[in-house]
Amino acid sequence: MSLPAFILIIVLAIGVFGAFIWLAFNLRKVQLKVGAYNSRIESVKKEVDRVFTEEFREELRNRGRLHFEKIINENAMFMQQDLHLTASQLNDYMRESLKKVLDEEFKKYTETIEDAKDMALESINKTQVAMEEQRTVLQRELKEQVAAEKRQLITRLDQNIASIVNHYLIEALSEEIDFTSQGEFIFQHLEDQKASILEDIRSGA
Amino acid sequence: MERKPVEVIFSNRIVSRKDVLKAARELERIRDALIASSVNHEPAQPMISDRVRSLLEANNIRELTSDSADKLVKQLEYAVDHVPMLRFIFAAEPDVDFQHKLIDWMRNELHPASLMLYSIQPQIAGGYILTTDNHRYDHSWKYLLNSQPAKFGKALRA
Repeated sequence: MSLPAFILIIVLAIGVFGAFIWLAFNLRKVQLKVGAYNSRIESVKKEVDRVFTEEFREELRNRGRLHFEKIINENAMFMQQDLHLTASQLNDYMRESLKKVLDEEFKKYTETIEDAKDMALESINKTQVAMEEQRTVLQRELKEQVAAEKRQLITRLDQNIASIVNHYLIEALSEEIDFTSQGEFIFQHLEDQKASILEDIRSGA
Repeated sequence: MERKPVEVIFSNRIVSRKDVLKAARELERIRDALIASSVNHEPAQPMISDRVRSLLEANNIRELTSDSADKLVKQLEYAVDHVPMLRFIFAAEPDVDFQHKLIDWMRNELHPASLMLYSIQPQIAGGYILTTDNHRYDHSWKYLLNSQPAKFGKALRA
């Protein structure tokens, strides 16, 4: 070890030792100040205990309680008033709101009813028009069908009138045969066919 | 073989084959009655119908004997199968006058011993249908009406 290093170490050790001594001295001074402060607090506590006796404390508590009650009552009254006012305002607001909503709803309802009524009327009118048109068409078709059927019946009647009347005549005349009236008819035809009948008789003889 | 001619003359009361046969049966009954009366010697008074009476008059038989009756019966039975037969169809039963008139026409115009047979078919309405061996003459009103329906319908609509 060199001399300078040794000297430096000696110096450093002396410095550290001096620092410890200074620190111990200062700590002692602080300890003394804390003890004085604590004793002062203790004295203040004792003074407070002496001033704020139990009766004084009770008096303060009563006064505080009363004051507190008074404030509470006042606040309660204010709150009640506010509450009444708020309730009143709320009622008014609710009434107005409800009225407004109801008015709007009634207005919408009325409009809806009117719209539905208009639609229904329009639908009824359209239906009536359609029914009228359908009735006209049906009437025309029915007339055409009746006319066609009438024409067909007339045509068929024209075609079959002879056979119908024949049938009727045959049915009617067969019940009322008078040989006096038809004798001329019969003998006329026999005269017309006489030659042929004679030929038949001769050929069959 | 030549066919024997019909000798009997029919009166207008003998119209049909049925009349001929009825007259023949009646003459047989009269003949039997006459024979019986001659055998029994009793006067015969047989009932004679108008049909047979007219037949006797038509054949100029003044007095009817069993022989003449028998001869007439045989002539009738022969004639009934050999005389011309005209088959008529009428719409209703023809009355006696019409039958007489028709049979007179037939015997004057067609054959003196002709007979007719008729039946009734109301559905022909009127007129007649005549059937011979070869032909059918339809002059019924039904045929006449149905044969010209267009003409009839036109007449109805006019």
